[in-house]
Amino acid sequence: MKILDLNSKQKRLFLLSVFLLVISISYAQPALPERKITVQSTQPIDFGVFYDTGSGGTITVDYQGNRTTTGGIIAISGSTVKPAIFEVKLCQGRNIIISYNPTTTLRNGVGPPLVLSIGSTEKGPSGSSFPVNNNCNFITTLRVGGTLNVPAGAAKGTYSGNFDLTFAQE
Amino acid sequence: MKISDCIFGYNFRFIGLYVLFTVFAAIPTSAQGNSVDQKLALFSSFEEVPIEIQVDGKWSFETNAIITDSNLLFVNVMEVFTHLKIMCNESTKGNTLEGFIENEKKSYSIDYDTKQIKVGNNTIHSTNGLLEETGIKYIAASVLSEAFGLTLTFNPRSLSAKLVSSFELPYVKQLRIENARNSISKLQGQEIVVDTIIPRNYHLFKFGMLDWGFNSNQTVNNTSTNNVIVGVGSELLFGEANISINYNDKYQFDNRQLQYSWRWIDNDKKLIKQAQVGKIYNQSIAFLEAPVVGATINNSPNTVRKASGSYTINDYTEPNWTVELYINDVLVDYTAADASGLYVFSVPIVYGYTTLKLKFYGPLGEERTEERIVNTPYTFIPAKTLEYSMSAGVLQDENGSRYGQGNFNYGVNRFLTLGGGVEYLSSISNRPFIPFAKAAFQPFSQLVMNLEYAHDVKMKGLLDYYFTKSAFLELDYTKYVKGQLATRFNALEERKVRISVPFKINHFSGFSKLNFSQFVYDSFNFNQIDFVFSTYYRQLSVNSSTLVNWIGNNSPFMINNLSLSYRLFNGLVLRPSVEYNLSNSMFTRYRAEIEKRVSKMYFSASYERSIVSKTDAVFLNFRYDLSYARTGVSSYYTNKSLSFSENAQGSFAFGGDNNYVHSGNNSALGKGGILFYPFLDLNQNGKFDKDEKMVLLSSVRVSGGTAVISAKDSIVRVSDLNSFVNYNVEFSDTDLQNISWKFKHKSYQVLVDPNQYKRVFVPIISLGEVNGTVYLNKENANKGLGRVTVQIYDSKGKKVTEILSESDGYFSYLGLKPGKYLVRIDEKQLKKLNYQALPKAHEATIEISEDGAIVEGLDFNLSVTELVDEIKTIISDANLQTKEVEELIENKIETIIPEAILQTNKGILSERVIGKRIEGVTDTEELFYSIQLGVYKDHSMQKEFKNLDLVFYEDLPNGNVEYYYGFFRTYERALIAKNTLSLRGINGTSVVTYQFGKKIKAAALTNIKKGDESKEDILIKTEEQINNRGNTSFEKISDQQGLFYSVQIGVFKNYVHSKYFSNFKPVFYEFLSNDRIRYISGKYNSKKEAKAAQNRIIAKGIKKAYIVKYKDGKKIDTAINGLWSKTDK
Repeated sequence: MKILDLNSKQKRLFLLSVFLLVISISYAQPALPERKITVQSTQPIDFGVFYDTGSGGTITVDYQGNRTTTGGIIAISGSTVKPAIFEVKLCQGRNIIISYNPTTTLRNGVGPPLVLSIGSTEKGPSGSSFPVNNNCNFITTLRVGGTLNVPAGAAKGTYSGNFDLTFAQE
Repeated sequence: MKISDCIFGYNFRFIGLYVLFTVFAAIPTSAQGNSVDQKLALFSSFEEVPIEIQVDGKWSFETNAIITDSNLLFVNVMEVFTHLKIMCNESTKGNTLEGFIENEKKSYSIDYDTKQIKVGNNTIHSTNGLLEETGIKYIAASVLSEAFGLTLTFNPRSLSAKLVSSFELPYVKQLRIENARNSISKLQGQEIVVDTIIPRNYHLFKFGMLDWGFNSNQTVNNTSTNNVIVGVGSELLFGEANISINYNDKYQFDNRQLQYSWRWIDNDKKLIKQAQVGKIYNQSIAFLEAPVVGATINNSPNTVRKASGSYTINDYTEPNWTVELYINDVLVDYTAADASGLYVFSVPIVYGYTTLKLKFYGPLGEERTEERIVNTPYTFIPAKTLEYSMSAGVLQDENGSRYGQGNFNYGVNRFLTLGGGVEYLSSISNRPFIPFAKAAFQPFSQLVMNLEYAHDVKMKGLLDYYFTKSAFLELDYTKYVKGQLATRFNALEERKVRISVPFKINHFSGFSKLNFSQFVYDSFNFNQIDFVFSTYYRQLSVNSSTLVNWIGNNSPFMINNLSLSYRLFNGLVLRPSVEYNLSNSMFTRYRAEIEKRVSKMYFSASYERSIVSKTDAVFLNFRYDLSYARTGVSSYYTNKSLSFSENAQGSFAFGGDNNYVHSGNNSALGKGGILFYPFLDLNQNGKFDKDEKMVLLSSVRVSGGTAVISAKDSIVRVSDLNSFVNYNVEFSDTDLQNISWKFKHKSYQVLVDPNQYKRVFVPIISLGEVNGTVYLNKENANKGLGRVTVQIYDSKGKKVTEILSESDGYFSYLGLKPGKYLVRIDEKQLKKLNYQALPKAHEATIEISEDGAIVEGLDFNLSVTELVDEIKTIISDANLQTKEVEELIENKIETIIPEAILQTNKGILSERVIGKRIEGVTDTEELFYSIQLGVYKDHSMQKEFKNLDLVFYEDLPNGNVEYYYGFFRTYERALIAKNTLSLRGINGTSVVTYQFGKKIKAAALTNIKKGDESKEDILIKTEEQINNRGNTSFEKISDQQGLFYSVQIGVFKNYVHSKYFSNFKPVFYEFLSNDRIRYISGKYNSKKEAKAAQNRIIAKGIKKAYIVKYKDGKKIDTAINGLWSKTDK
């Protein structure tokens, strides 16, 4: 996908795409009518390109798509940065509670994985709930951000991985 | 309209001012023309000295010039024009130089007879601006400026002159074109002319390089992680083999942490030029989630082949840093960032798949090896060329998916490259085969289009258009097939527009970028705008970055980040920034950072407060680059969590000979080095033999590398070069300790072998020198003669070189290989000057020697060819007119042969002149003059007469011999000569007049026809001279006893008529060793009196008059005096 420079340099280039895959759907209270919920992971979270000046640090893409870095991480402007976006469709207006594991790992197939802290989401942290429009054709989007922890000395490359988000309707 | 009026108004004012200035500037010039100084300039002494001429501050050359007493500069026209590559030839007719300046249409001629210069349609007449001395043609600097627009500003203290030209000098033009060609040849990668090419050496196995790295992280009250990286590089089976491991103590080791690769490149092979085995990296269409282990081959050379057109990279780095651009690891260009740090590269489009790298170097020698790799988005191939690439392997994923790709690119013509192929990935369940096609089109250099079609995966189009040199627009569109499984993380459609416009207004420079991206999904679009505006003013830079994004029709989210960066004088950089949420109208974050970079040390501290999350973060970072390691420590505090990090990395390169191990702070894997063994090749067989010694050099230039010269073992080591890349290395003879040593080959092109040092033996040969002096025998005195061409022939009679003698006659040539040589004076030049050389040639044998053999004392004595032969030659030349004959002879001897003699006695003239019987010579109707020297008993001429050019005799009836000196057409010339004789100690002479071979009594002169004004004039002058005979103005300085001060009027080549010094009486003279005459005025007991006299003399026009001190007729303390009198003015 991306060509990597074999020679490791002081500033390492990372090309980072974090992909969120599916999603457990839990159905509770089956007695209630028309509780059909459709959830789709549409857009993966993308941290764009950045490099480490040597000491490691973090890079955050919040749910609004705003990218910030700490420590020795320098983000390269101009590269695409996107928050993760889920689509939720529920025909009958209900509250949905979201939950997720706080972290997941991203791999580039070479070095040790990177740890991604998930969240927060547009609707708050894990355990938050939100109402969904009861029009079957109306899609509610849920944007999710994340913070990537880059240890010093991490190998350069394209890192990718998955995380699960659980939507539970009340 | 108003604007243009304003501009014109301004221009007119400017022209008015300019005219006014010119007028004022002209007045003092003409006033100066009337001064006594200028009159004296005619008699000024001429010292030929070498001066340095600096041209437009770019380069310089040395030339001989004449500097008069009044610091007027006369330069040798031929020499200066030759240096500037301005055409300049001696005309076949008359005494004229001709050629053209600027272009063929603008021809010029400088006529030394009529004193006229014609440049184009302009004619300039200058009596004093053109000067001819010993056949060399000089021109005054002021005339050079007026006529040719070549302004020389002379600095007499440093003996240098700055030359500014009003047009592009041919030499400068040539340099410019050469530079342009050079960079093109650099890009073509092979066009640099070298005299020695060192190809690859092949080994089954050769070690090696070693990389190491270490990282440690500790979080207080939490775990710590340690990371170790080790890499080993060697040559294995004729290729480059690297293996490296990245071990982390928190994760179980698995073989994916092991990296290995084998690489082989040979650009001379036809079918396969590059091969790689191990972990391979490919530009794949499908997304590969794990590395591929396999093999790849292609027939693309790794050299840089430039296609037409270019694209621009512009970005910011530290102010005034130098940025190097590498294409395929070859340095192709470099530029300096401006005061704001902005650098712009026009990157040529290069054939084939290319990588770009940028390296940064600080003004104090800092080096930041940050390499930004830019992949070119399109591939062009030279016309009618087919390049292919094939790869296959297994993914290191859980299923062991198989991957393969085969593709080709064909250059249809200069503008179009077509490509295609097929890719296979077994993990794509529905369609593992992906056929694809590509087209890259460049109709003109500003526009590049690229189209890609991958069947059942995507369609992509890209367009880059440069509307100025560095401002561009990019349109990028990709459409993915719905349901395809080859790629992931993408939308159905991706639309991107990018506009980048740098600007510069006076001290402001800046940069604006607008990116718009739209990701189209089934049910909504995600849109994003990124707008960056940076501006720089001196030490301050302001950067505003605005991000806007929105989903479908939802209201946008907008945030702005404004940061300032201010560079303090002590190198500290302050960087405050705020983040403002435009959607909510609130500040969301602020941050302050301070940074200092000193040479190899870097320190930064930052504090950040996030208002939204109410968190604080403090970050401290320190880095230090040692020559053998890059180290850093940092500390980070946020959310009540404190962590520390330490890291270090470096490398070793082995095989540097003599137990040398190169340690560096960059990775050494895939690199190589060169070991140069400079040695003194005594037997000149090109091999480093046992009894031959190494030579310590002072510097070596390697393009793209740094040479380290070891004083211990004299080996020149160049490390950190890229494998399989040609490097050009240049040696200069000036870097050798011994002047007689020369490099056998000066430029090398070395192909670097992978992961090792390569030995290159550099033979140095010891050359011999010949030297001697060319003397001119004149007036029986030997004097060194400059500008004589000395030729050296080898034993086969082939001319090795020719050299010019210096102004004192000395010549030397260093550069002769051992052997026998013949050294002689250029025959043509001798003939032209009518000199003969004794001996005609010297034989010189250069022996084999470590220090270089020297053959000294190859002196030549030149003397005027016997007048008989000379004049015979001139007269017998039937093609010459009488006047020409006369002129030719005039050039040879100072005295003038009367025209009549030439006309009437052509046949016997020479004999008579040289026969020195005055009766015969003077047997003509015309009157002429000679100087009667005295009567002697016999023909044994007095010693002092032997120094005179032409002496004749007359046998008197009583057996005695009367001697005469010279022929003069005018009485005045004769008188001047007579006075010169008396200055030389030949007294008691008198001017005699001859006609029809007989001496005429003074009374008879009255019979001279009226109307012959010149002769009347002469008579008056005769009286004057006779009246002044008793004047003691011209006493010898040597006769003046005691200590006294005086004022020097000047040093002159010729005798100066006393009337010119009538204002400065009493005047004393002395002969100087260089055949000049010094005149001083007055005899004063104190410096104060002398100073007053000096002021009086200066006021009378002798601007360079200065005080001299004498004791018993000998000058003392001159240097200090001269300096003092100069500064005193």
